[in-house]
Amino acid sequence: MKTFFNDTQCGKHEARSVMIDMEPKAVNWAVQDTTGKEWRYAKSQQFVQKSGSGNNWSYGFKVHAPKCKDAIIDLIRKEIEKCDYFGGFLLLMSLAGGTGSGLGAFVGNVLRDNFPRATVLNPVVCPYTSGEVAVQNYNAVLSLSHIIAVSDAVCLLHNNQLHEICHRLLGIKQVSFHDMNKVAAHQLASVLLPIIQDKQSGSRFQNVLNDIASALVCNSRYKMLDLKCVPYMSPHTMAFNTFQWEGLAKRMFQMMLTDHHMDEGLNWRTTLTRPHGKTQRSSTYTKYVSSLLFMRGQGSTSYDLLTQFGDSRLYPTWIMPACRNSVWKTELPFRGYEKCIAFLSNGTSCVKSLNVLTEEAWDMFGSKAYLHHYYKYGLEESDFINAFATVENVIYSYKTL
Amino acid sequence: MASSNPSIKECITLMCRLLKYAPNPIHVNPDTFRQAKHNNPAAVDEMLKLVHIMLATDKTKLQGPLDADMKEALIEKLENSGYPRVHMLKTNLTSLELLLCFGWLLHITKILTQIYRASLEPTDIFSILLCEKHKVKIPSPFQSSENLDISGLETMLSGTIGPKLEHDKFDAMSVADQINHVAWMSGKVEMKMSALNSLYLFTAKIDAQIQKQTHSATAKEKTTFDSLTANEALLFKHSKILQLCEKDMERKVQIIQAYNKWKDMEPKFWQWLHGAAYDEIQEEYLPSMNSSDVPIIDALTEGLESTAASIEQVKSMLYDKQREWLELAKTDSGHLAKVRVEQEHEISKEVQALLLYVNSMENSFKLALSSDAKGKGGPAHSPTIPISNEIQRLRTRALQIADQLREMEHLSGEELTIIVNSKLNGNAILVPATAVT
Repeated sequence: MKTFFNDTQCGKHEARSVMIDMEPKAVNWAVQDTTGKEWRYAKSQQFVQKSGSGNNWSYGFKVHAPKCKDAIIDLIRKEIEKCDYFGGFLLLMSLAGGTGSGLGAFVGNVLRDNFPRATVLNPVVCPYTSGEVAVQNYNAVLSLSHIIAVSDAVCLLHNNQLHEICHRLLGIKQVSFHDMNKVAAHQLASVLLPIIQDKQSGSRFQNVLNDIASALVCNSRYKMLDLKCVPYMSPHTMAFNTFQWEGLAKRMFQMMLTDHHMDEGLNWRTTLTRPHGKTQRSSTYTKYVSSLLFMRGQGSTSYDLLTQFGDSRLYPTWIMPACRNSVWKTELPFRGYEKCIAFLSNGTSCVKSLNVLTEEAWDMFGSKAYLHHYYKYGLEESDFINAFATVENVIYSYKTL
Repeated sequence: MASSNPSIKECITLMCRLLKYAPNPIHVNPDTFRQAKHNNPAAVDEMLKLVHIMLATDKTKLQGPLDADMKEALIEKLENSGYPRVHMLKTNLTSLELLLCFGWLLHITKILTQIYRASLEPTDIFSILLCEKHKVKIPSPFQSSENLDISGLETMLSGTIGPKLEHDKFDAMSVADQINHVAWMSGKVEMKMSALNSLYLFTAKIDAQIQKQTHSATAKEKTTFDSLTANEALLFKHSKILQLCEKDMERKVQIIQAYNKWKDMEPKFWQWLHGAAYDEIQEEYLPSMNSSDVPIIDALTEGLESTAASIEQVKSMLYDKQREWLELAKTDSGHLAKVRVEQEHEISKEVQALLLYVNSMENSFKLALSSDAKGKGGPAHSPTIPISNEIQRLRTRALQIADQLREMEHLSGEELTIIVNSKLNGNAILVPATAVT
């Protein structure tokens, strides 16, 4: 509990967070959402302006950020001072808009400058492939180019995938951002809730962020993380679940192999080996630098997970077997799920979405669409080129795995 | 005997308990001492170990009994330390002899007092932690590979600390892969460094909080101190260290209590050991006197008696001469004669004193012989110097005395000749002194 919350005198827990937005709408929603719950967001730890960033990365990064820098650092320092054991930063932001991407990228820079030794895990929400904001791809590429440089790990959460999970697995007909946020929170919580791995090693002070980073993103060329969970169930069906560890593990392995974000509509034909024993071509299944499995629920500690998760064909030769795949287990159930497996991986899963983002951004950049909106706040063409180069470089690294 | 005495039993038990806390811990069964006192051969190995550990400078543990080389080294070490009965250890390595040696070491090294003094020192947390660290069994690099189970170590190396670097595989990699691998490993080290840094900041913060809280607490209570020392802060922070300190303090209390009891009973132990020592000395000398030393002693006694007899003769002769000189002095009141008479009187007195000394020596020699021949005496009457040495000394002294007497006799003879020559003129006739001997 103390990992993510402060104790208060009134008995309510306060989230260890600093909320930053250039308009109060999103922050107010978040604060309102905690009404009647055992925890809340501290009012003193909110930084809200009323102007907004107009979905312009350049405005958020070049105009808002320098003005707000001192106030934001002050808030962050105050929050850190409340921590007994400071483990690192979880920098949550979206890539589409102006504030999340522009100011968020700037905050990432500030964190790295002021706390060079702190671990920064950066879950970012990638926009819908189409239709959210016209300049979302520009914003995303510019933002990614910065956070790739300063964060220890970037975890991509896709609106498309979240939407599909809500719609197909949770049975929500009118999917709202609220529903998608819940799924995203579920995914993040499934990996960020501390797991007592070894009672003797004093895991009371487990540094989750650092542990994740040291297991998955030790090579600075490979920082992109992908998150998968099984099972997803609506609250109505939860009581009827009959999942066994073996079944869940099989599904998760197939999701891993085919890079599918949910356990429905899986391609079961894709396997590591063909019936006659020959290895399938590497291009047909996802490759990974490293992966981390989280098993939560009764019987997890006694269950031996499939060894295929660490199969050498899924990983490059320069990763030693001991570093390929780790499994963290806890007997504690997670959010009402009797059994749950989460899979956090550093692999080629990101290539597809990054490719889409950069290709569309390149197309727009080639036609110089909307560029003047960025140039007017101090951004230059070279900044775009550099951003593209950085993201392309990441894509190339993963493609050559 | 001592074993039937409950107090000596308790005394030895206390001593054994204290010896456990020695810098080089000595674990010995109290019954070993009883067996050693009865010169039980079964106790030899145990007593040897005991003496070895007491003399050892390092903390190497003995596995099994001492071999011949070790025994030799042990005796050499005792000889260098000045142990007076090394010759006995060389010839006859019995448990009783080793018990005496132990007693000597106990007295010389004052090991029990050292243990007691160490227990009076304040508890040092860092030394306790160091002791705990040494208790962790780490496989020795020199241990033979047959007995060494390194599976745990390998798991540790591959899992917790980091992957085991397989050189062959690394060499087989392309340059790009090698760079990636090295980048990965260095990144891992960097991440661990970050984690360590977080932990360091955490401990610093906790220290500061403890200092602050204790300061405020003590300020309210108006105590004499207002903040904690670093060691005290450690105790507050880590309950395990606190437990270790409590254990250490309990141990010290036990030592102090045992030492105090020991001090009360210590005389009984030495008395007990004294009895054992007396038995051993008696056994050492009686057999040797019966076999080889007795004829020499007889001859010596005879020689001394004959010396004493001749001295008696000289003495009587000198008295006679003295009487004659006095008569001469009466008839001839010459100054020279008076002086000579006085000188001779002095000589006579000296001779008498010497004779008395010789007689006393002879008597004491006879007494010593007779007491040894009678057998056991009490510990208070037991000889502290070996008898053979005393005989030698007496013999030398007797010979010296005899020489002195001869010289004096010669001198007396010369003086007589001078007097005779001077008195011949006065018609005095004296027998020459040379005729006396």
